[in-house]
Amino acid sequence: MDLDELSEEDRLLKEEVHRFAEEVIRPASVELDKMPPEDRIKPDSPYFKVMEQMKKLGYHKMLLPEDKGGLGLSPLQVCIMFEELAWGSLGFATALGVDMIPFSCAALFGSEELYEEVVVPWLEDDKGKYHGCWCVTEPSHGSDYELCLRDENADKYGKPDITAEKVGDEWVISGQKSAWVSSAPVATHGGVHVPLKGAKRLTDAMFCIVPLDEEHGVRKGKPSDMLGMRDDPQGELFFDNVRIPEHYVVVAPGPFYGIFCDQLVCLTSVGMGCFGVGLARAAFEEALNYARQRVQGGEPLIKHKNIKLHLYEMFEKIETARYYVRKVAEHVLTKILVQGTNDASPRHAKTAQIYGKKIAYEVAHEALQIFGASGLSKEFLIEKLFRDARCIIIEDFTLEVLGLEVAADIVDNYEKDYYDVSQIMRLYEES
Amino acid sequence: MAVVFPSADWMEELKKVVNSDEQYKKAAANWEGDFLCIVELDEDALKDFSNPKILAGFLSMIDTVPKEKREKYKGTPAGDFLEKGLGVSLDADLSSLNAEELAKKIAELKIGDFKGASLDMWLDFWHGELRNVEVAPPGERRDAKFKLIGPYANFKLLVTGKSDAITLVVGGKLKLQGDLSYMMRNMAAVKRFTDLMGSIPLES
Repeated sequence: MDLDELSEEDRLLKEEVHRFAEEVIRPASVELDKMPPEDRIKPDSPYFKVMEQMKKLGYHKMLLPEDKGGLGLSPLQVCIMFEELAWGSLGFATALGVDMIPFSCAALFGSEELYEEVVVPWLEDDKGKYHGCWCVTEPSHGSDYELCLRDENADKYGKPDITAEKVGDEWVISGQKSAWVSSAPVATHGGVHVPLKGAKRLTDAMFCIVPLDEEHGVRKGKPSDMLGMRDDPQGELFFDNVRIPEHYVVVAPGPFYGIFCDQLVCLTSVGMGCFGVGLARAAFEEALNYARQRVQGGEPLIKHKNIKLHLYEMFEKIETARYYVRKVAEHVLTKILVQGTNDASPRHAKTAQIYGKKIAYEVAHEALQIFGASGLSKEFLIEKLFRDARCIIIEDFTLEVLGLEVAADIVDNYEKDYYDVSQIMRLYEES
Repeated sequence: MAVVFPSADWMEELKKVVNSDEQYKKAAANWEGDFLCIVELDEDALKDFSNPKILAGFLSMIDTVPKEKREKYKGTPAGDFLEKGLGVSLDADLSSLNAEELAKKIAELKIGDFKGASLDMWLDFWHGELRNVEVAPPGERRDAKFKLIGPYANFKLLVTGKSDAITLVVGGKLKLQGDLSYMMRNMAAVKRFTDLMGSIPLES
């Protein structure tokens, strides 16, 4: 039951994506979860089969407006899709999310030349030939990239592990991104955050598109063996004098880089919030079904009051998260994709991300408890969902870091009914 | 009506388009602040100016500067471009010059000889109205609340509607100086204005 009034189109979209998540995504994600990391990225891996099908269905175009070659979905439709995909698998939802980041940013903020050269082939791809990833974190800098944006002592974060330098008409990039870049081992293009050579701060950086192949000087590390989200390969990227033309720089160094980072996190927060809701719902439904069948103390678990209460609490969390995330999505997607004013509220967007992620972990935790010892067994899906839920509260910046950022925004800007960039501006004025 | 960019007609058309737009009026109802656009002349400008129609348009813009103020061009790169490059007198009635003949001289010019030459436009926005658009002689209107600076080729992307101001500024193609906090609070107005600017039909 959906409290939003769904149009016929919304309902059909929900049914179609749910069917795909149930019949294609979830079985592949379970299979991938059991495979060794190196097998997950082999050409015959189920990963590529699913990605190819998602491209065929045009799912990668879901965020972009029609005039940029996208599906032109409403904010509600975007939320519906993200929730259903994450219900099927957090890993595949994330893989699709990070695939969109470099290309969608290039479409929204890049030059016409870059759009024709890089975005159009990606939009037209129905074979899974192109795959993007979002390269933010470095071995020495995890959530630092989020924290440093408003920190008055932004130069305390130390040197970046990767830098870019302008040489003639090109930019030369050297260094490393961390082992937890989602989809890096399988990606063809990265949306890369790179500080400038000699810069004092991580924020003296740019965002650019980098083809991720050896021909360009990019080497990929081994796929990481992670606790969860094993259906989205993660790994390091090494950049050795990688040369990119000027027009591959989507966001130039300067104050607008700070604003861009803020707004990009608003967009990713919508995705993460929906992913949290989808994952929580998956865990909840597993627990509800199990509780209906499993007999303990002579009667089904659902007859036990403590189990009933658990189910209620899970339901309450999922429902409140879904509608808050949808409200924020409407605000963020309207500001960034429809109006193009890029003044979405970071504190609201990050709260949607935090809340969605938090309840995903809490619901998965409670759901597993209902399973008892069975929940610890790999025989049951809840075991995988719980591991994924443990990952989501770290993925895309930790809950703590996001919470601190929201708190700082509240302390400084609570009374303002607009997006205030004065803290970011101060940082750039000083440098 | 299709007009040439740059030209005095284009400035007039811009005023007309903006001031007749209800959406802009609403979005910019609280906006207070002027803009100085510094359009740096580049290879692309020279190429365009070899078209007599466009050169005539450019001269018609400079011609809107009152003669007593044209002194300010003397000895500046923009003044050198006009006087030494095109061989025109700043005291002349620039709109009546033979653009066909002047355009022939463009092929012999090198933009490097006029480094720093720019066409500066001052736009005075006030509470939903574009009160004035005028050419600013060198050194004038430098205290504008905002400055938008960049090469002619990139400004052309903006006025032809091929790109928008946000994309050009974010990508570093145009440089924006001023109170960005204020601007971000009024992005709907900025976005609408630049969309209107890009919507003016241009003669090629």
